[in-house]
Amino acid sequence: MGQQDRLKRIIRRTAFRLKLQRVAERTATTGLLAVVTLMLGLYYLKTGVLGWSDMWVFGLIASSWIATGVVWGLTIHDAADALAARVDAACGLHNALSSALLFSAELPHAPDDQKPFMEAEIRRAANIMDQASARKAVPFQWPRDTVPLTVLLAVLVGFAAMRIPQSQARAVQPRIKRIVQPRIHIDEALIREYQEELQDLKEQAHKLKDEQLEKFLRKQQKLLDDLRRGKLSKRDFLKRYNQLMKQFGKRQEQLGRNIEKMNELLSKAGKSFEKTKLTRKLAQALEEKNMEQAAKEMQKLLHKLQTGKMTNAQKRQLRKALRKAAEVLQKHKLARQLDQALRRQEQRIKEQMQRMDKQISRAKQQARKATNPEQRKQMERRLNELKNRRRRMQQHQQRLAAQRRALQTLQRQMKQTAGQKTDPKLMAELQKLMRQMQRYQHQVARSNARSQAKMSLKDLRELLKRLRAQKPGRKGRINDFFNRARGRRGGRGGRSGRPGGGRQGGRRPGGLGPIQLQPGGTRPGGLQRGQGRNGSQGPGRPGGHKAGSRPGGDVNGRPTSLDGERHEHYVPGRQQKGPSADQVVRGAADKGFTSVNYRKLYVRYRKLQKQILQEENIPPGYRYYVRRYFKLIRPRK
Amino acid sequence: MDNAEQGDNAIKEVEAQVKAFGDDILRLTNEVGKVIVGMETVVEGAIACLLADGHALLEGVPGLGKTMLVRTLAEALSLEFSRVQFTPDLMPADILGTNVIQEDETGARRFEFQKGPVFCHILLADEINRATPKTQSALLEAMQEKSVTIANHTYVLERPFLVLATQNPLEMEGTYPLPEAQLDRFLYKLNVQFPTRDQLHTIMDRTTQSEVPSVSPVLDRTRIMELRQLVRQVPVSKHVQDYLLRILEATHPEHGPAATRKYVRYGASPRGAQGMMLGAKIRALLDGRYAVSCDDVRQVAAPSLRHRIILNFEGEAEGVATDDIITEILSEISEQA
Repeated sequence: MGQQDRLKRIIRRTAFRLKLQRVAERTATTGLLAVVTLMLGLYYLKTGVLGWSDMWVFGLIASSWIATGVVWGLTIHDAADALAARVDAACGLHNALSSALLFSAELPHAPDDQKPFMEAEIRRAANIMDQASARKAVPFQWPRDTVPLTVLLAVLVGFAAMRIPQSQARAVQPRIKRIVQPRIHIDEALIREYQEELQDLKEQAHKLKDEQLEKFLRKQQKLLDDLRRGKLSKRDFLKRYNQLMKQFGKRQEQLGRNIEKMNELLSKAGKSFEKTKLTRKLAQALEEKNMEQAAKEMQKLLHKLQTGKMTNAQKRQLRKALRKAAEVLQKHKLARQLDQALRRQEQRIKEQMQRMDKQISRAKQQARKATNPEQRKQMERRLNELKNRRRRMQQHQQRLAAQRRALQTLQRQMKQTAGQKTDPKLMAELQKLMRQMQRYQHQVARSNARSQAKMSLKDLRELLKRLRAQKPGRKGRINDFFNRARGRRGGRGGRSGRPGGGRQGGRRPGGLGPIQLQPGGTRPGGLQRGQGRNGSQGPGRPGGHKAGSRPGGDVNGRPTSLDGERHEHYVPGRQQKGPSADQVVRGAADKGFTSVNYRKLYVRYRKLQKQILQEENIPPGYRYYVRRYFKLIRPRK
Repeated sequence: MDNAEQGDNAIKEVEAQVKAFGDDILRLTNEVGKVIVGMETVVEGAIACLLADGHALLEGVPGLGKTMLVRTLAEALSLEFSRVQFTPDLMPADILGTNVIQEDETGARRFEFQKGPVFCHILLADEINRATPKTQSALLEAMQEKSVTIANHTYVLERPFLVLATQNPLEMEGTYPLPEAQLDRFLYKLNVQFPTRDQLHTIMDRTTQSEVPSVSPVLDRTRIMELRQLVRQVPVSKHVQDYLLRILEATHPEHGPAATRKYVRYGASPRGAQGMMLGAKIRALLDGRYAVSCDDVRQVAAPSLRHRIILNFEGEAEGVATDDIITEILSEISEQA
């Protein structure tokens, strides 16, 4: 028993030393964090961000770190046999102590032939126990983090001793530095399309005499030029983009929405003209919300009236249609809603202008009172800014009033024209109505041009966003596509589509197979979505919204599963003359695209693409892909 | 006699047995040392295989005294010794034996089994990798089962049965390398190193003079069987056994250190652990101790595991030795779990 007690004493001593060492080790590690915490507190104190009264928090955190280290070290326990093995290893006892410890516990249950061996080993351990030493097993050693802890402590003391002049205390407060943004380098070819579009819009703005739009386009042009020269960073671009968008912000959208509603109302009123053959085209133009065409149709009616080609019955029908249309414009639910909305908007802008007037007069007084020249300058700048804002509000109010007036005038004029009994008077009033229609068409065109300009800018932003998101491999794939288009090398089968997605029209654009235009249709059938190579359907649902980015497994595409619930409709083609074409583009897809025929076809498709992008409300992300797709399939010289 | 006295006597008896074990083995090694110069590790390994009821694979270039070692060992143990030089045309029957027609005095003919060289106590399978896999497997079956089956008749080999196979690591042309499953049946793989200058001097002196040293038997078959029994009685504490098993696990890429993960395809089998354990017990007894220590395990790890670790392509391409991986494992695995 005496030997066992000795063994236990050695193990206890080893355990104590080991625990002590662990506590020191862990405390040194957490002490590093404590010192860093104190340094942070000292930094804030020295720089005047925090006062002495706030320092207790840092003291508490630092103490918590140290306490954590101590608890961490204390909570680790070692088994007795592990400690004995440690003593064995340190003192070269060949596991005598640890084996003896375990054997003494196992002895009653051990096999008979092994018992004498175990007892012999226990006796051997007792004989060599004098060689065991807890100090050897756990020799003193400095914690690993002693050096960094000492260095940090020295820095802390040095920092505490350093005096910072009070006058400069605020200057060294932590500030967020401006991050240097890399410049955006953009390929000329990529923004050529935007440049062309901008040019068109400029011409349109000049024609419409919309100065504000012209100014906006000039700024947009400058932005585009700076992009080309690689002068802009992402931050700069977004800053200028936001500034530009603010100009055509919510108010412009409000005007656009009003125009849309007015068009809707006119389209409803236009149904009154459907009944007679004479005014059917006018009805169609109004239904399609094509106000330019509507004005032209009215001019044709006037011409017929002037040349005496209109019969009395037709004149009666015209008067009746005009009367009905005037009634719709006056009494339709939408007309009342629109009128109320316009009045509300005008009222709101009036109130805003009144508030603005007060602000301006206050700013004027402050500017007068200011004694400091710099302060006065600042106040004047503020005053100018307020005046500009007020001016813009006034313009908006005028436009709202013009919109309301336009609708009222149209309605009044239609009614007045319908009431004329004699030809000369009918002619004169119809002419006035036509002018009124032209004025309204001008408003619509201006609103459309503004929306287009705004959309074009959004598209540019989308392009830049996509460019940044592009991975290095993308460029390679685009080049590969171009190379294939030029017939320089063989294609990588099915590279352009993602399997299963059917997102870019199955695996490949349908343009690779023979393209046929459907007779009687306005859109070419060759662009139908979901069409795979050689006309086979892609495996996924057709009509996805994203381009493929990796090769598909099954190049030919699997047939579309028809298991789901579906409704089949037979749509017969219209048996009439119309803009139709039936053309086969012969091209060797493996070697490259065709040149002559394909170019002609592309021009037609491109027009359709532009038209759709202008007319339809398509999100910028989708617009980007449409533009990119047409850019990719553009024929090369 | 009371219990305490009985216990005391038992301890004394064990102490005496262990001392006698050490003395016997020392006498044996000294006797072998009369002829064999150096090669202490190999001699000790071969003796360990004998005592652990295993077999050893000796790898070394020709002329290092492998055959001489085995022959000397057999002479010192007064056991029957056979030597088979493995060649590509060697057939299983050449090793195991075959039934031949014998004519007795009356003229009647009958089949009689003619024992092959495998029926001995110590068999030297020289250049084992030169024989075809068929012949190799015939021997390896005998090694594992300690019996030979011919024509539906099983012949049990007399114990102790020790096979010491040799192979040349250089000349690989026209050889049939032993498959992993067969390598696994050797308890130890011992690398025979080139002797040092001093050892070469001694070899020259001993082999080129007229007087050739002779060996006299120091242990007989009965004593060897007693020693084998004693080896298996040595106890092992749990933590030492755990350490041994952790070493074994570390030879597997799933559990091992970085070197294992990088270069090893398959680790050692449980036979490797058995080999280590028996080897460690023998080492403890040789050291005069009554229980196995972690040091013993470390010492026997390399011969027990080196032929059981299978390198992957990367390991083979980079010429990594399994001994290096074992060294890495031993340095990584701590005695404390």
